[in-house]
Amino acid sequence: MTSAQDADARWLSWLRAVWVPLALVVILGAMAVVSGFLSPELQYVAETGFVYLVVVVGLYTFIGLSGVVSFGHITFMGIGAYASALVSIPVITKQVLLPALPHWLEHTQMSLVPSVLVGGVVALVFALIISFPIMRISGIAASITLFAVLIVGNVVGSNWVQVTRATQTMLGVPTDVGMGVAFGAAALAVCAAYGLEVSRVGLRLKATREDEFAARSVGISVARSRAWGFALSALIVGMGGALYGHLVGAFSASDFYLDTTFLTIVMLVVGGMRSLTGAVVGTIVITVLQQLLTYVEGGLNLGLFNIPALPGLSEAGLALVLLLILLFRPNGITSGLEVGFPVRRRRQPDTGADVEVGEHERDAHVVQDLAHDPSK
Amino acid sequence: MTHVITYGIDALSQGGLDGLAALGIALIFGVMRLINFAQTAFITLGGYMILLLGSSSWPVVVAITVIVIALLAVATERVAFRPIREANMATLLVTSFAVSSFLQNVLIMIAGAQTQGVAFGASLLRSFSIGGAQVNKLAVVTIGVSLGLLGLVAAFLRNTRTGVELRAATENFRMARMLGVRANRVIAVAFAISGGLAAAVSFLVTAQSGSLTPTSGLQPAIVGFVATVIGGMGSLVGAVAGGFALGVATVIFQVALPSGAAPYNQAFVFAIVFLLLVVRPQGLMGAGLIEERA
Repeated sequence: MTSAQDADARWLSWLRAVWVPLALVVILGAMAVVSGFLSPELQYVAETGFVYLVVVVGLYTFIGLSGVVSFGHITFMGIGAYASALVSIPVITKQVLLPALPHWLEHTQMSLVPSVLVGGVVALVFALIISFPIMRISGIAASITLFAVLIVGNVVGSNWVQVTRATQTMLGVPTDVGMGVAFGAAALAVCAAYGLEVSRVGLRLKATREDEFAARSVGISVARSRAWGFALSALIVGMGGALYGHLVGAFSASDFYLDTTFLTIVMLVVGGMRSLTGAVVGTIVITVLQQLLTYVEGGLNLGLFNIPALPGLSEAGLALVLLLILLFRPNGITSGLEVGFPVRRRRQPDTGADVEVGEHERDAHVVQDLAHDPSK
Repeated sequence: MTHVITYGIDALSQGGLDGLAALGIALIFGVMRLINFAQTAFITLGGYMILLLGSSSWPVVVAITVIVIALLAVATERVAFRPIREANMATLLVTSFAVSSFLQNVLIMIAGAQTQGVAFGASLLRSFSIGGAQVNKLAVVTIGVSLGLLGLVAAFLRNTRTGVELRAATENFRMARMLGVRANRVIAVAFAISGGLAAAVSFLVTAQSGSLTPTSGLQPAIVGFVATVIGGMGSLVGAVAGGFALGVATVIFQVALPSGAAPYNQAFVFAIVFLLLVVRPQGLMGAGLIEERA
C-alpha cells in the first residue's frame, strides 16, 4: 500500500466517522439556504422547523436510543421556555408582568445564549429529580408515568400566577432567534445527539433497547443508562424550548401540552425513531406537510371548488399520516437507518467481509429510499 | 360526622368511577400489552353520542351509546391494532396515541372545539339527606353503577367460557392460544367490553359536569392509565384497586387542601403516585417485570 493510498484511507475513515452528522448538517444547510428565497412567512415556518428539530433530536436521544416512548418531554420544553424567559425578559417589563418574582430573579437579564443554557440546565435538573422513580419501572409504565408528568406540568404551568402568569400569555421575551441562530442550534443539536449516540452512554442505552436482559447480563444498569439518556435529552429539549420562547416571543402553558407532544412524536416516528436521520427527515417532512394542511384547514378557494375552513383538519391529517406510516412502514421513512456513506469500504481479505456487504446493502437501500422521494 | 358521610360517599363514587375507567384500560392491556390511548376518544365520543341523541329517553340513549362505542372500539382494533399486533409495545403505544388524536380531531371537524352543555341526568344533581348528611344523588348512582358493572364484568370473567379464555390470555397469551383460545375473538371481546365501559364512564362524567369538550375523555382515561401502573401492570384487580385508590385520594385532597392549592389537586395526587413508585416500582399487585408478548 502506498503512502498516498494510506492517507486516502485515513481521510476516508475519518470522513466515515463524522459522515452522519456532516451529511445531516449539509442537508439542513441546504434547507436554510433554499428557505432564504421564500416569503417571510415561509421563512418563519422554516425557523420554527429548525427549533422543533432541536426538540425532536432531544426526544431522539432518549426515545430513539432507549426505545422507551416518553409522553412527558414537552414538559421539559415548557420548563426551558419559561426558565429562559424569566432570565431574559427586560427588567422593566418583568416588574410589570411578574411583580411577585424574587428580587434577584426580577433583576436578572441575560442575552440569548446564556438564557438558553439556563433553560436547558433547569430542565436537566428537573429531569434528574424525577428520573429516580421513573427509570426504575418498566418501559411501558414509564411512558404512562411520563404522561402523568406532562399533565402535572400543565396543571402547574397554568396555575402558577407568580411565575408563569397562569393561563395568561408570557410576553416580552426578546425575539432574537432568526434563521442563522435556528439553523446553528439545529446543527449543534444534531452533532451533540450523534456524539451522545456513539459515546459509552449512548451505546449502553442502545444495548438496553435491543435486549434488556442481555444488557443486564453484561453488567449494564438499565435504570442508570436510561437516567443518563433521560437527563441529557431533557437538556437538549429544554434548550429547544428556550429557543422556541425566543422565536415566538409570547407563549402560554397550553403551548407545551398535548398538541406539541403529538406533533413532535409524529415527527420522530414518521421519520423513523431509531435513527438520527429519521428524526431529521421526519421533522422536515412533517413541517412541510403541516404547513400544507394548515393552508387547507384555513379554507381554500380553488376557483371551482371552495373548501371551507375546517378546524381540526391539520391535526387529523397528521394523525392519519402517522397511522399509515405505522401500518405500512412501522420503522418510519428511513426504516431506522442512517444516511448512507457514498464510498464503498475496501474489502479486508480476512475478517468481517460478509458483515460489511450487509452494511453496504442497507446503506444502498436508504440512499435509494432517499432518492425516491424528492421531499426528503 | 355528617361531613364524614358526605365526603365518604363522594370518595366512594369517585373511586368507583376511576376503577371503571381503569378496568377498561387494563382489560386491553392484559390481552394485547397495549395502553389504549384511544380510550380517551371513546369516552369523549360517548359524551357526544348523548348530545346527538339528546331528546330520546335515557334508556334509549344508554343502549345506543353503549352499542355504538363498543362497535367503534372493535372496529378500531380491526383497522388499526390488528395489523400491528406483533409489533413492540412502543409502536402499539404510539399507534393508540395516533388513533386517539385522529378520532378527537375528526370530532372537532364535525362538532367544533367549543364547550357544549348537555342536560343528561340533570334530575340526579339534587341531593338528599341521610341521617342529616347531605348526599348527592348522582354520587349514589355512580357508586351503584360502578359496583354493578364491576360485578358484571367479574361474573363474566369468572363464569363464562369466553371470560375464562380472556383471563387465560391475560395470564399468558401464547400459551392460551396453544390451548385453543382464538386470539382474534378474545381480543375483540376485550375491546367490546372496554368500549362498553368507556360509554358507562362517559354517562357518569357527562352527568357530573353537564358539559362536553373534545377533550372531556382525557381526565378519566389518564386516571385509568395511571391506575394500571400503580396497580401493577397486567393485573385486572390491581388496576381497579389502583383506580379506586386514586379516586379516593382525589377526594381526600379536595377536602384537605387549602383553597389556594385546590387547582394543584391532580399534581398532588400524581406526586403520591411517584412516591409510591419509589417504594414499589412493580406497582401494588405487580408480579414483577412485564415482558413483551412473544
